[in-house]
Amino acid sequence: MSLLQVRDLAVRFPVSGGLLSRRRSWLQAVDGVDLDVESGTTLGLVGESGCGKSTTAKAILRLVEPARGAVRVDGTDVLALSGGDLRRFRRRMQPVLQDPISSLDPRRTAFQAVAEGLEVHRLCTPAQARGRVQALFERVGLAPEHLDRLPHEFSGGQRQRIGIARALAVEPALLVLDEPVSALDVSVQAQVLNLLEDLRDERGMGYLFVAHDMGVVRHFCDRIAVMYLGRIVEEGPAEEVCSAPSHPYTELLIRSVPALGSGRTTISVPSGEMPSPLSPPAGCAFHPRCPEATARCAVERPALRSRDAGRQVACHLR
Amino acid sequence: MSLLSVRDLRVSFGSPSGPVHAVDGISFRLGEGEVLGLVGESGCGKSATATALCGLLPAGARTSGSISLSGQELTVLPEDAWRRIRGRRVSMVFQDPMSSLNPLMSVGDHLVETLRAHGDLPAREARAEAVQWLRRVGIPDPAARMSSFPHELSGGMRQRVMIALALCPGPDLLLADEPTTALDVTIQAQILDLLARLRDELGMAMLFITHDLGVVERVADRIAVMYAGGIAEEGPAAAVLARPRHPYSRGLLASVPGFHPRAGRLPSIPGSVPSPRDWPSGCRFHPRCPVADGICTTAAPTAADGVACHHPEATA
Amino acid sequence: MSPAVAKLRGILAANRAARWSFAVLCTLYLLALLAPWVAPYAGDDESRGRSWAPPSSIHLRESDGSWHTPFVRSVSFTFDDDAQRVWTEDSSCRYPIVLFRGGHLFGLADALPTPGWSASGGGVAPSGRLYLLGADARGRDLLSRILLGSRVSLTIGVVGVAISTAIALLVGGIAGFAGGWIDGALMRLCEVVMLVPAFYLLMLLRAALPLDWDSRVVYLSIVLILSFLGWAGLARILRGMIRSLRQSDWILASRALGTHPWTILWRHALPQTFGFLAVQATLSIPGYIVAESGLSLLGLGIQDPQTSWGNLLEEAMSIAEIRLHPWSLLPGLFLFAAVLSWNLLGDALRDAFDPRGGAS
Repeated sequence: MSLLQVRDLAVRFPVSGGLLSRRRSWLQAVDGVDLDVESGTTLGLVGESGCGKSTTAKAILRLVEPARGAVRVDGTDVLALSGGDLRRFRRRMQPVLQDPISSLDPRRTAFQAVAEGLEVHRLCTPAQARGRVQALFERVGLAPEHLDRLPHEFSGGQRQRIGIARALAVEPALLVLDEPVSALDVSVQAQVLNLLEDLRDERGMGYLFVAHDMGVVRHFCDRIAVMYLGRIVEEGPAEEVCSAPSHPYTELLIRSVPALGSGRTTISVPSGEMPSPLSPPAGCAFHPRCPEATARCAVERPALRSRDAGRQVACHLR
Repeated sequence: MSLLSVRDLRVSFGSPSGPVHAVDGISFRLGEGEVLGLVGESGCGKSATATALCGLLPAGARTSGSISLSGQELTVLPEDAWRRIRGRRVSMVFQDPMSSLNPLMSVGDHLVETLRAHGDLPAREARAEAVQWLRRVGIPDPAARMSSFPHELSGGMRQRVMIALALCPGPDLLLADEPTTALDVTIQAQILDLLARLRDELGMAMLFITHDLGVVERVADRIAVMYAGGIAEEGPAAAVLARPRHPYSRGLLASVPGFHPRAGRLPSIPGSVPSPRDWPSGCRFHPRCPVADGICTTAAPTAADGVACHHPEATA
Repeated sequence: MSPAVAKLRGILAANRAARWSFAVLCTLYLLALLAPWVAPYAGDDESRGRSWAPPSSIHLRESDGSWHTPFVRSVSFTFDDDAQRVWTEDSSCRYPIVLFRGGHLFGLADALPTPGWSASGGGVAPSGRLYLLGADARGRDLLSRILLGSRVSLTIGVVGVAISTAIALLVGGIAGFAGGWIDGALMRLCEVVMLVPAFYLLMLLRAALPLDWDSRVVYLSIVLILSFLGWAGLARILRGMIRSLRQSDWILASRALGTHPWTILWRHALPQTFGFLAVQATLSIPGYIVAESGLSLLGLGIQDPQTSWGNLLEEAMSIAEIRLHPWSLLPGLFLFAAVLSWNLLGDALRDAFDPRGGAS
């Protein structure tokens, strides 16, 4: 039984058509996504901006309401919960967010930020909270003397560690990380990634790791799912997907990434950009940019199908 | 003779608690048509260097040292002399095109304004030239795009417009400050290709600032690695990336995921980048350096043969 | 609270206008607090024989050339040919000014006879009055009335702003945080409240209320009405601020932790608005002070015998009166000082909280 099981998740946002028009159009941010994450493993969710990966992460955490779909964490249907039950269940799945600046309340000390979860779920008495937070601080590599400092007194990397400590305080089974290292310097990035990996192994958590940096994803994740315009186009073991991509978009992504050691090459990348989610192309969403598109691609949307053991692709031609 | 020669440049900013030294004595050269990649993490002073090179430092900033462009000394120029230099000799492309473009002016207006400011073109010719430039930077349907406003364009398109604006006066030197950092990977690749192509066509030199080692490898002829206000290592791109000599460069390259195939833990540099307010004594990198010893804590190393280190190439 | 205090200290240190304003306001409010003690006379202590007495001349030398502690003499008036009052001092005795007299900070000691004065036929010494700022139509000391009136005028702003800010926080906070139909309903309510023409409403209500109500009750009603009308604009602004704050990552993280929405609103969202509110409050107080003065001036607010600065200014409403007794304008000076100080302090606060200025 997977730790996280997502089936046919869809999220859409209303785009108002003006004050007087009754008909609104919808922005389909996520259009039928299936995911599985096992305990102790990391699933990377990759894509460029506008592909819906952050929205998927937020929908799984129910910080955004999905239009349809099922999200099961440890067997429980998250979307069926409400009110106090939902709030109590949230312990099991925690986010680590991208922006170190806005992920912490600027007016609350680091201690207060990390202790909030302990307080909300009454995991210990207020007297014990101090000790617990200190232990968490040490675990994530922060000095316990800095507990009572405000966020602006910490560096970006330290703030991310505080965010991680805050998530860990309630002992979640699933961690949903939305670009947790994208805003950090390279040297700090490595430290935080190492920390996350150690924590996952120690505590047996499952990770959903949303990112756009293929190098990071390849290193950190066990499996990768590639998203384009709200849909998953390819999924499989990280190393295989990166070294032998199936879907043309994955190929494009891998080719575009300036990988160290490849030397001074000019990559000829096809021009064109991801279309706006407001008006997605018919059929396969990638067909306008795809060098191998056929007539069928412009009409019929490909389903995500299993290829070999453990790999899935959504393409008519692969 | 070098197009650009920077010697012992120092930049400091005023602050309520005293001057903050962002750049603390860097020297480098840039030849005509050459691309120098300036790499470093936050707080190393690379952006301050770029801003100093085009005279856009804020009012409270102090510079010392020499910036010499084709023999002309730039550090002592008054503002009106700078206006003649900017665009015609030195141009800059910034990271965030949205805040660099006037949201109330169309793309065409931007280009025409720049073209007419730097040459005596009548309006009609300026518009024709502007369309040419849009085509040159790869914007589809350029004639129609002339009347678009910045918010109607995607990030990649806006950056192309910025590049056109920077290059249309025909500068000798283009300063690019993290021009692709805010863009998606596939768009980034397109923009890097574009810059390479334009460099070949127009022959301008480029100072390319980034924190992304993969990007710099793709564009730069030479690389200078900055740390805490100084240049740690400098040399031909391939050499620096394949055989880094400074412990910081080595640590930085090793900690990039993807440099080593999936090998478990990422090697990382302990500690974090010091803020300009409390730079360590001696060699600024010594608290984090695996091979530091006594002399490193007391004496700042001088650059020799492209490396500023007491023990280059020493392994831990 | 320590960072807030530190911030205030920083603002005062940096800005001279703010320092002076703060000092002036502290002085005015302290005087208002201690008014019954500082004022030499009670507010209704009349002396009809000294109607419109000018400010007392303070003497230091007696008629025989000897030096004394400051003293005043009794005054009386006669009418001259143009029916104007002419004031003369009675040199028969002097009244020294002393501290801690009769339960007040300062006052007049008993009369001391002037040396060399021979009273032609004994009799009672004329009574003395200390009019530092002159007297009003009924001979009441203007300084005392100003001090006592400051209790109303200065507090009405603070109380009014406190009430309207509290309501605005509640309405704006809930509307911004809940969204949906709650937001819509509350904002429509705000708009209705903003449509009400405050001034006419006040006149209407005042006319409807019994005239013989105690002035203090009237005071309270005025404050309540003003603040119940004044919250709507602020609530709309706060609602916008809370709405955008709701998307902040730290609020998302709290939601993900399972924190109750009320707790999130109270602990994580509303406190971010306090800097803005401090500025708004400081800049709104003068409006309330002036509003009360205007109302009392028109007879809609505080009535005689209670005092407020507006009420006192009623006696300076025509040029003729000002020419005859110019000191009746002095309450206006106090009003000016208070309003200016609040404004300057508010400006300094706003500059300090301006994100460009590198503050919170």
